[in-house]
Amino acid sequence: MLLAFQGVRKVFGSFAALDDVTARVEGRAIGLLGPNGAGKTTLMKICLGLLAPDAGDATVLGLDVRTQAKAIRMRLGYAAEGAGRIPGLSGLESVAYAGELCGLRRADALRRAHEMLDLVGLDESRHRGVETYSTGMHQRVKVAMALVHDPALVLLDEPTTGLDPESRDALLDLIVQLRDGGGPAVLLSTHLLHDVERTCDACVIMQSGRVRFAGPLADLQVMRLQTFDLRTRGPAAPLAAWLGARGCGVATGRRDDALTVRLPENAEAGLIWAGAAASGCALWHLEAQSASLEEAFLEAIGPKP
Amino acid sequence: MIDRIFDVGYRRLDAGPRHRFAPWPIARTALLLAWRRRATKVGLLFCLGNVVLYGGLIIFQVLMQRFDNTGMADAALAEAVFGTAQEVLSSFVQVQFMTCAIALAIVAAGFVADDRQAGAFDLYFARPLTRMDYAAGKVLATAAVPLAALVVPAFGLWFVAVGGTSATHGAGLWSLGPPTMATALCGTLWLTGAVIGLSAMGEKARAVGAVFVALLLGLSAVGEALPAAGYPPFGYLSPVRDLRTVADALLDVGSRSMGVALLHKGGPLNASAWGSFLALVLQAALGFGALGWRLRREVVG
Repeated sequence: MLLAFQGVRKVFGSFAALDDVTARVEGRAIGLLGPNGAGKTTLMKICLGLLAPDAGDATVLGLDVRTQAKAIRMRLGYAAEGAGRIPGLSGLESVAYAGELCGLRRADALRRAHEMLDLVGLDESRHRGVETYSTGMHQRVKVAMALVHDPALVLLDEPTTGLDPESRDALLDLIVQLRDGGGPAVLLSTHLLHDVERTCDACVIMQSGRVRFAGPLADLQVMRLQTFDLRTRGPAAPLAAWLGARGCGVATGRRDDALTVRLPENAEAGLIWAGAAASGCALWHLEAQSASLEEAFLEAIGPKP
Repeated sequence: MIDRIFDVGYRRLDAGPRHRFAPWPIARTALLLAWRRRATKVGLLFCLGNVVLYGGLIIFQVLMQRFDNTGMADAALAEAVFGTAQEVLSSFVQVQFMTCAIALAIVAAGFVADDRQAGAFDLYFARPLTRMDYAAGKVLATAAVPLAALVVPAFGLWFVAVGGTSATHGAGLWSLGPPTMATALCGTLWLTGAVIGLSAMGEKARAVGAVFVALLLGLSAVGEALPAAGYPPFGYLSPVRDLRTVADALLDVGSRSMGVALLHKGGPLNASAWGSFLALVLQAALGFGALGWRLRREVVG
């Protein structure tokens, strides 16, 4: 199991950044989705052992974050959000330094740094001081620093923030390349749905310190398939009343023979057929609504508590 | 020529043992970054200037003693003017201590403060480093400056004195080695502890450097003025006075010659050399404690 959390809680003062986080996550590229302040960065820092959970258990790559933090960090790469750089070092030196801190010999770290900077597409500017870099170049260096020691899992915290479309494209391509090309597994923290949709095969959705969904992306989109558009021969009012009485959400359209029905949890489409038979309405059109990830996401996080 | 990158994709590394001494790259990188600043080179140039000056004194003294019997030189006169080897070595350690303090304010004030300001703690501790690794790396980098500018030259001066003098005079100089090193190491300990402690407390290297120099001067002023006003225990607050007391006790300096007195004006001593030594160690320990406190406060595990 890549990541497993059981009742994890983290409080800063009176603010609960994480509250009873429980999830088990597996996959090659996992999106950690949620609005700002959802607790994504706190969860990442707990994975790294940079923060200790106040309650609950967390394991990363099967290792306990409380007792095996150093072993975990040996197998993790982390590209933090924000600055996180050492002014005065060039991009190449920064990446090689990160490798040395992870135990690589100096010559190996330097060679590996060149490889990683090639991978992220940083050209001759790798020899310039990092303080002269644009946001995009800086993000690339951070990703290279996270990859230099060949981790089993790399944590990327908002890596596309502040990037122009071209750089963003390139970075997302890199994540796909890592996912499909035998590189480390990726945990991508972001609030951009498109990034997750494009790169990830599983996701964890967080809001207000709680996990709202954890699992494959396909499962998330299936949740949306509980909503149907239907048309009847003649007025649909009897069917609407029958379904409404059984806990379905029913919205009437402009036409009196059209309905949008949302089934309650665990109900199946057969309920609509049963309703049609019971109310004497003949159905001639029934279609599950197509679900975009955005709709599924909004549905998963629901209204703010 | 078009600047293009031809990457070979992601290559997995051979899973080999990775157990390097983690503080070493931290220390080396800190010193590399410091060396790239012009101010560092200027500070170290002053340290080198002292070495050259005192080296000249020692060499002159040695030559006078060597040729004393030939009638070409008068060793007694040279000693009266330029002092004994003990005086020169003791004076060197004290003068270089102050020069090193200025150099350290430039070189090492930002070792931890810069990391805090740049938010680089995450960068370090997201990797398999312990707080002890980080602290050891930074202390190693800080101590490298007084070790290179104070301890090694002090050893060099003693070595020159012993090696260059005649056999008759050389016998007395052999025993000066360990006390000279011990005095220089006391100074190194204080300088390292004080500057790294202040660096851990601040966020701006320049401010830390200024506070460090002000602290040294302030403690020295208080440590000289209050004993003169009838409060002798306050003398132990002054690191300069403490080091002077330790140097005097270890090297048995005695009276001062004209030349050394011109370079370095000696002053009153504390009553106990052990007390001075403990005061230096205690103040250094406070600095190391501040570094430990900062790391415990900001980093888990």
